[in-house]
Amino acid sequence: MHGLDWAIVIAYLGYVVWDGLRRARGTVDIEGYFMANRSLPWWAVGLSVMATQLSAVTLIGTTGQGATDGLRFVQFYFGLPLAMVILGVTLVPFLHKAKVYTAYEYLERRFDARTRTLTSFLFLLSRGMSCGAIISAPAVVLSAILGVPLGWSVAIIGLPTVLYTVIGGVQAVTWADVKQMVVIVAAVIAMATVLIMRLPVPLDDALAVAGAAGRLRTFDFSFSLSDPYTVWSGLIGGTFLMLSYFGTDQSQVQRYLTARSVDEARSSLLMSAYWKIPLQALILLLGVLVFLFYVFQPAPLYHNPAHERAMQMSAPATYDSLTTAYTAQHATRRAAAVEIAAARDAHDAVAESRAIEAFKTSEAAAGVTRTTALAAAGKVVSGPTRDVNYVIPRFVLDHLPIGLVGLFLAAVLAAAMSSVAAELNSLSTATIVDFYRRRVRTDASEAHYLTASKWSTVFWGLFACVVATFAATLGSLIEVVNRFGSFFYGSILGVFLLAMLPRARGRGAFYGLIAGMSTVGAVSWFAPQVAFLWHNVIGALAVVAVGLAMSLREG
Amino acid sequence: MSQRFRATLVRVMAMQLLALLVLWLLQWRYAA
Repeated sequence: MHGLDWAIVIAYLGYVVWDGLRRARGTVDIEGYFMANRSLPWWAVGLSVMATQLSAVTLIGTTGQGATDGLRFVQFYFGLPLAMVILGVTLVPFLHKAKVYTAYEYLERRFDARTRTLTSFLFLLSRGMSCGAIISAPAVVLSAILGVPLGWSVAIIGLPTVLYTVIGGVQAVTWADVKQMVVIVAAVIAMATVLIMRLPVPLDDALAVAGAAGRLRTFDFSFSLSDPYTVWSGLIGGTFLMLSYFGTDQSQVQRYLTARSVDEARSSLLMSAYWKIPLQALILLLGVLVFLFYVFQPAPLYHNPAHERAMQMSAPATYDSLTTAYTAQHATRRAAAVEIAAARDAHDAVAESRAIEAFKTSEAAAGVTRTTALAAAGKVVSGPTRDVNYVIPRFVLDHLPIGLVGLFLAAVLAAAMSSVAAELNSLSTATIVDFYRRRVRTDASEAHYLTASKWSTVFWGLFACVVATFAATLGSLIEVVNRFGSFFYGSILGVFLLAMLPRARGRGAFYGLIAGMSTVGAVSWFAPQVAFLWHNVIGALAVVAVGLAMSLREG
Repeated sequence: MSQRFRATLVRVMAMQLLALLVLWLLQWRYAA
């Protein structure tokens, strides 16, 4: 990587940390440290909501998914605008007017202490681990692409984030999120512009090639419980997932609790609703443009350099034969793509459909070779061989001009840091407000709680970095926790839905929550083909049904 | 529901319809 690119990355890191430290001034209590004295403008909170949701995995994984699978992943977000509107009308006014610090604190006021403790504990357990995964996923990719040790890339992401989150609190987190969102959007637009300019055929013809490869097929109206990317799973399952995430996950709830008023909190959510689908479509489209780039330019057989090196060392004959086959298939595919463009320019429909068929055949053959190559790599390296997360970083380092490489890396760091900072801040809030101040030291001074909050953030930051560094070893443990997390995500939403029903009681909420989690666990075990998006629907409905039935029996 | 919230809501829904229309047009023109 060029010195100028490193300079851009270092300048970005330096600025974010300096600005975060600056925000620490005037914070004297936990209301300021965790809630910014409920004084932030809607647009800053809205950008923070978006930045928190957009992690580095979203940025590099979704673009990679656009390149390999096309636009259909955007259906996953179809429920988001609907969920934001529902939350804006229902939960946001409740939580904001209750002046709570955590969403779970509200549950104690509505039900009882044990429901609060259980939901908050489940949040700490799942988010504590997932925070490590949020750092480790991009750190593994950066480490492989840049050739630096994993510990270094974890440190580059984790340490500056911990520093500004500990010292500046939620003010630093939110204002850093604003800048990070600007960096991310700027990088995506700059990359899309460069890619369009580098197309050797007009954009209209290039899109026809992408269409022939199935990359522009967005809508799938089939109903399937096992496919997470259909219109129906996005609209129904997606709505429940987004209701759970934005309504009951402290990392998001805390964003809009810092807004000046209920109206501003609602506006911040609606801002995210406004931009999410267009932004997500743009990110996927960037991936489609990278796919088109590799149609016309030499494409690597392996996007992960580690796979390439391992194959060259351990199975050079297989590597050579696969590379030869892939190069030939790529040349045929390229010729067919050029033919599609020429036929379109000549308005020759027969030649165009013939070229499209030839393109599809060579695309399928190249796909088979790639699958075989990844399977062969799986035999010589340990760990998963799926390389969708490496498509974009590899493309950036190999083909983008100096300056843009640095901007892209800064955007990946920004995406990771914004999510991690919000998680650390909310983990610390739940630890101090729901456990330490509620159960351990109930009558200490504000200064004491502020110091404890900072130490709690330090603890969660170091915990996340350690989990990220040993993520490869902890792989199965993290998977178990994530799987466990999916059991209760919808169930916690069910408890909040119960809270809206006047007849619901504390006992019903607590046992309803346990029943909801058990139901999702049973579905996951006995019907593993049911896609995870539906788990949220099942969990939430089970909690409401059991909780309400118990409450009505109680009278 | 405040006037401001309703106005924002209309803008949000209009934007979603526009985004879906663009995606639909891309599919209809190039991937049919």
